[in-house]
Amino acid sequence: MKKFLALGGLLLALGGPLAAMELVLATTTSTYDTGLLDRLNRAFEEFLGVKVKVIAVGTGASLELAKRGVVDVVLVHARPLEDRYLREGWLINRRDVMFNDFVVVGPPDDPAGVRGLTDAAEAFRRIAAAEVRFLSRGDNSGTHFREMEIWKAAGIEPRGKWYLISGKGMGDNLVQASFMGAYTITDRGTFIAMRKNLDLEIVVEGPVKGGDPALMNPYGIMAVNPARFPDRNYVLAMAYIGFITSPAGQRIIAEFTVDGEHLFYPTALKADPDFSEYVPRDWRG
Amino acid sequence: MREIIAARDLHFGYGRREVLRGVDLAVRRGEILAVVGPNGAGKTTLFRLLTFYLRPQRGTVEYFLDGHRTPVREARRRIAAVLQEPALFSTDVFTNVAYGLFLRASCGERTRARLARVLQRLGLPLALSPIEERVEAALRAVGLSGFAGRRAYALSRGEAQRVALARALVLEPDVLFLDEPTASLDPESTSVIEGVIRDLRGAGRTVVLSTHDPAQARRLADRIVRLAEGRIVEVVGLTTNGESAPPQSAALWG
Amino acid sequence: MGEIWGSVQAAFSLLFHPDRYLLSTILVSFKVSGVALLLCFPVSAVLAAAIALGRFPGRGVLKLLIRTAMGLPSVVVGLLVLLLLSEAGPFKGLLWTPRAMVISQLVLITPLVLGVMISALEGVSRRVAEAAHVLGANRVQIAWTVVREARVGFLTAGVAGFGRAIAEVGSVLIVGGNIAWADGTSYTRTLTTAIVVESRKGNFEMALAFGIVLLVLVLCVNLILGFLERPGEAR
Repeated sequence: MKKFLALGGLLLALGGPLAAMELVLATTTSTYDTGLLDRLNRAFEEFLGVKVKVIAVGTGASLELAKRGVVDVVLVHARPLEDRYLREGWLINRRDVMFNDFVVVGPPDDPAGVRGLTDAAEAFRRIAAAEVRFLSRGDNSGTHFREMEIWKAAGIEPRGKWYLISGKGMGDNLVQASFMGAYTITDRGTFIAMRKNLDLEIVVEGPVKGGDPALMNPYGIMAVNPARFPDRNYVLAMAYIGFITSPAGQRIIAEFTVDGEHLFYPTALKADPDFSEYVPRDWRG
Repeated sequence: MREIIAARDLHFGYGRREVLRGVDLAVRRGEILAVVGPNGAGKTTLFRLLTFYLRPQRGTVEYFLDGHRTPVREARRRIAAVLQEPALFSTDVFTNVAYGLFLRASCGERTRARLARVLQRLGLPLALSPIEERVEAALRAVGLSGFAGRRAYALSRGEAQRVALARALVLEPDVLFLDEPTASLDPESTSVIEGVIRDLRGAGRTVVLSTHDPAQARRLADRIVRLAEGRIVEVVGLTTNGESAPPQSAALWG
Repeated sequence: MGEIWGSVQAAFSLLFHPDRYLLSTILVSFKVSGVALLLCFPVSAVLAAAIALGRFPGRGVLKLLIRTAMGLPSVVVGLLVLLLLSEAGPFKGLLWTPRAMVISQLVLITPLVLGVMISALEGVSRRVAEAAHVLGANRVQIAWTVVREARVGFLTAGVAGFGRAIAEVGSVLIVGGNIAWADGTSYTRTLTTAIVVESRKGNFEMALAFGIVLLVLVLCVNLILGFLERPGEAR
């Protein structure tokens, strides 16, 4: 806490020249579209007088942009991918930021009979067995990544006329799934935001409401490695990471609601931080 | 020296079609020379070579406007032509006729002319610009006074061809080329244009014209050259009362 | 159906009471596409004159390439410009700015503008060039005269180029990043990319409203240009 105040004081002192600098953040569409990032960035601007440029392109693209050194900081939600970029040295100084969860949704009449299951992999198995339509985003997003992990856990390689790939963002994917009466996996936040326009219901709950822990959706933030890209704004990136994971930033996340529902749960502040938060999970080799 | 244009051994073909197969021609100062021949004989091609629009594949075209050889650039500035079709620019008659003058004028002269034009249109014809006056004179010569403000697209074929003639006349060229100037024109325009040619002769100017009407050639020209299948086949010099002098063969040139 | 009608109503109410979001996106759209056209036009005019009036080996191939490039999808152009800028050291800073968007739209519309201009010039009678020649014009003066004869076609080229630019999504989305500041003002968000993000968020009425606004504005531009085309001349 004290360290944070010191850093804050230092940065405030540098506030003048800092304001002339800009920070480019690449992130997923889910964090941006909910409006959370705008709320955080407004507060950050008040804090340091720096405007944040948000490029909301999705997890896969965000990480690739970081690899090309055209952004400063990345906020995504696909741990295996994050680990890979950390290991390869493109990104450094990872921190947990927040989590929410995924849910599996489907048509109200639930043709595959999976409602109420607490095991997502099992639900996927039943959907595949019944060959009921499943719509995948197929776009290297965090959501898509988690979907593929669950298929892997279920021991299934999804293939066939029932398995469709939309290539779309979360919202568009839900709309299409709703039209087609297909199952799909979605983050809870987007589903809640769009629920009234959709003909879909939650069939497998996520851990926030006591459901399958495999549907946990943690978000991590990382800075682009200044050793690889010295012209990127590392100081400002760390200031941003510092702000997001500070009590002020975390409170904004905790208090953020849409239609009265909390969409994200802050996880950055821990009395006993787990080392694996900062490094690739298999760092021991 | 009487010769102001000397064209020797001109050859030209489009693709595989040979149009001119060795033409020798001399144009004398102050004469009206008519080139006659059927369609496809090469009259237009010959004109294009003489005006330097095309380069001969073999042979030369040389100008001697002041007794010695005139460089091409200067020659081009001192000749003008009227094509078989009016080819007016899509603007008003004034700008068309003034075109060549504007090319040769300085920025200041051009601005004065444009200003004079604007005043003219507002009904205040101040004698500001020599360009303006010369344009008016040229239009008078072709019987189109008052046409300066008309749009080119609103003219009849005869009027358009007369404007094209004015456009060339206004430059007071050493040599004026007219490619079938009265082809498919109404009788009034034809007689106006023929009248202009006669006036030019009276003023001692040099005109080279082509026509497929031998009677017109006899009416207007001092000498007639007949072109057939890419070669000159006959040269006829006319006396002042329009009768033929003894014909000379194509080989007699110097 | 009701949703579309609702969007139409929302669109017109937006038009008459525009908020900062809409106004800033309109500004970005017009600024980017306008500058792209302004830069593209004179360069294309000169190139078109050189190509249409010149005679040189490979002319046919060049025209074929231009015609092919006309059909480049905007996303492809955006991707190319993104990769180019991210490799070229000093130019990296251009990414995620309106300038990068101008660059990518320049690449996108130049073949189209060039192509229409070349067509217009080739449509001018050869007699015009000959008439200019025999009145004493040099090569440059002849070219200028032919260009003036093709002026309506050139205007069409400009309109076509602007239309393509202002309505495209792919390239400005990729090189601009579709950025809006936290207070809702647009930085690199155009009318078209705003439609992308709003429909992604599920705000379909707003997305469609933006689309209608775009259509109305383009209609106005075309009306103005229609007045400038004079009938019966230089066709």
